[in-house]
Amino acid sequence: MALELVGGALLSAFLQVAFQKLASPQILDFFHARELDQKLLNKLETKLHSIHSLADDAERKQFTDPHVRNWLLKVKDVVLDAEDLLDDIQKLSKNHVDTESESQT
Amino acid sequence: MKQILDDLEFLSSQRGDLGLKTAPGVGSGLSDELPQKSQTTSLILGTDIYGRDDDKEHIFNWLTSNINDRNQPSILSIVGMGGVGKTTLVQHVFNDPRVDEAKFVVKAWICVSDEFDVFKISRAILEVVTKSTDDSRELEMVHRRLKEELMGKKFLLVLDDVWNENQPKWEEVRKPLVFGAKGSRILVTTCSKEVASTMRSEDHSLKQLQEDDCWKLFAKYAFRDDDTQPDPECRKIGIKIVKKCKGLPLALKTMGSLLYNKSSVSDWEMVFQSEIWEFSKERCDIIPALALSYIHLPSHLKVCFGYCAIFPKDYEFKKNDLIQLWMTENFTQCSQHSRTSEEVCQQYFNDLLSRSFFQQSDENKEVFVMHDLLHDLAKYVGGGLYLRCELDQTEKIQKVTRHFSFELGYPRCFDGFGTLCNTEKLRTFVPKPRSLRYLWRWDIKMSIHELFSKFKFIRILSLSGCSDLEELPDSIGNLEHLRSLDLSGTDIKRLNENICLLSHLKILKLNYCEDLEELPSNLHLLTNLCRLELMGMKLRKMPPYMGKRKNLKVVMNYFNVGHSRELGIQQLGELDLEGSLSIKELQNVENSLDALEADLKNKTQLVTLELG
Repeated sequence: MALELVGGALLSAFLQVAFQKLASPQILDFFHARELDQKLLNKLETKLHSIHSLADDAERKQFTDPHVRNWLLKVKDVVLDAEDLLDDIQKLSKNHVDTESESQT
Repeated sequence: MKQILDDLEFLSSQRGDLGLKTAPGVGSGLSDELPQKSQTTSLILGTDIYGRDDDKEHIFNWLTSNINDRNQPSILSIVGMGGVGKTTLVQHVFNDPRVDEAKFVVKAWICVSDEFDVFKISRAILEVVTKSTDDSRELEMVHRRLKEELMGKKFLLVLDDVWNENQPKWEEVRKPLVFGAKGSRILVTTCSKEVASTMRSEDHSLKQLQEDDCWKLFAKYAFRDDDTQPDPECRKIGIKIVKKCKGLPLALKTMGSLLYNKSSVSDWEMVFQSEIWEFSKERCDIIPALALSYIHLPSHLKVCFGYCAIFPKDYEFKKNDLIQLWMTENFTQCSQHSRTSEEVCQQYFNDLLSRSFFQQSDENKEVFVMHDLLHDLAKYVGGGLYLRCELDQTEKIQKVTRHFSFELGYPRCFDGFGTLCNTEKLRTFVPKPRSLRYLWRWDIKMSIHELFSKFKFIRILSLSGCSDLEELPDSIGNLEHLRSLDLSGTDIKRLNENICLLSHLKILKLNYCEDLEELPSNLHLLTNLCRLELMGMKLRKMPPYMGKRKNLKVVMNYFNVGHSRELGIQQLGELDLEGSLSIKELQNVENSLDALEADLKNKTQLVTLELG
């Protein structure tokens, strides 16, 4: 597992959280139930993966290259935004299930 | 979502311009872009070393003693944080004439640094021992020659700056070394106790310098051999700079060198004001020394370490407080499920401690501190993600800020730092005075409802000590991501029932809320609640069904038994209590069965119990 590698990037830890959320059933259900475009989800995952592949290198260069440092900070911000967004979707999805189960009883 | 996709697209398209490479395959070493730390050698510049007499003595004793150690050759690791002077100390020992008394036939210095490659290290040792280059390509050849070279000879080997925690790798390097004569020694320098135990070595930890030694060292670099007295103004600033270095010789040296030949007070003031992380790398040795420790951390520890940037500088924190924050932030969610997240966080804490990121306080073993420069480092790598506002600072919450802690001066009034913009994404909002011992009260200039409306993703919220808080607005129910709520030390009189809508809430602290006499009756609906703190409260009635929450720990120190059954002692029955508890007004217990129902004998976490 990538996390076990000594010296993984800080960003990797953030990404890991985002990946877990992406794979959660609530997110998938939400897209499914609303017949939303699953491609959007796949696209997000692919993008995050391609950022991930750069994380380790950027992590090391940040101390010597201010541009890389800037870039890295922006990436962290967006990745956390993505996590917030997924949180919101999870919440919506859960509320949806709750109201459904209430209306059944 | 579209926006985020666009942002990601844009950022990843910059890879070429920035020359970023995709991750190299597993097992390849660290790249050349590491902040370069120059190779060390056994040679020393100058002859002065300050305040290390005891440490030197310790090493000499070890070098010359006749320990009958099964672990042959015997190994001593000098452990300490980056820049504390491990290498310098060992260099001085290595070159001291007293070492010759121990009659080592072979003396070798190897700078190991980042990559622990069995072949490269073995060959480096061989080359130093034979004083010639070796072009073997097989480990077999190198090991065989090394064994022949060392056979029956008493040697002293220094392995400087070791990071390896992989035992098989070390065993492999060690193989040819066991053929040396009895009395052979290996001296290791490392930042991590873990490394020392991987090598099954003894360890000696190197502490920061004492204050007067600090000044001597600093003065040596700042004034060199100049005997003229420095300008008294500069001297004053110099003393402040020395304080800032907190006994780290490498930092003192760096600062001293920066100031050499600078005589104007404004130059000195500028160096004092600037952050060490902003100095250009060419002139600064301390950055690589500490940055390396950081880069070697696994990513989950980087997150934990970075989070510490919200602490004030020199903050003395308790292990459990920090662990609680990490747990609430869910830093453990990627780890194996066989252990509780508390155990995992304990492990994280110990890992950071053994890597010298935290230090145990000398006076009070219960609290820990982080070195100033490491705090700066945490702030640097977080880049505004974690923000701490001190009294004299005017820093504003930035767009990227997620975690925020602040201190208030007199009058202690939180005015939202202007307009309190960029708060939507905040995940942590905590007032934190500089010291744990110090209870403080503060006011807020806006309504609590207005404050709540500024949060959207808040997870850890503390209004502890806020004197304007008597009631929670209904909008508390909107803070759906809330995991920890601390209302300790407020004048709150009633808890809004909407608090029971916070399904993620794990921790609720109401310590010393003396005006609060009742808890919401639906509190049991908080299925994730695992910690309820009710210290110093005059609570008589627990909400119903609380005992049904199996994972819930309750911390309270007073319980007053009431007259009716509703207020009786049996309410304690199913609660999982922790710490100490004093039960008052026992005369109100009318039926002994009630007391039995309180089930005090099964509360294994309860340490002291007082009845009266």
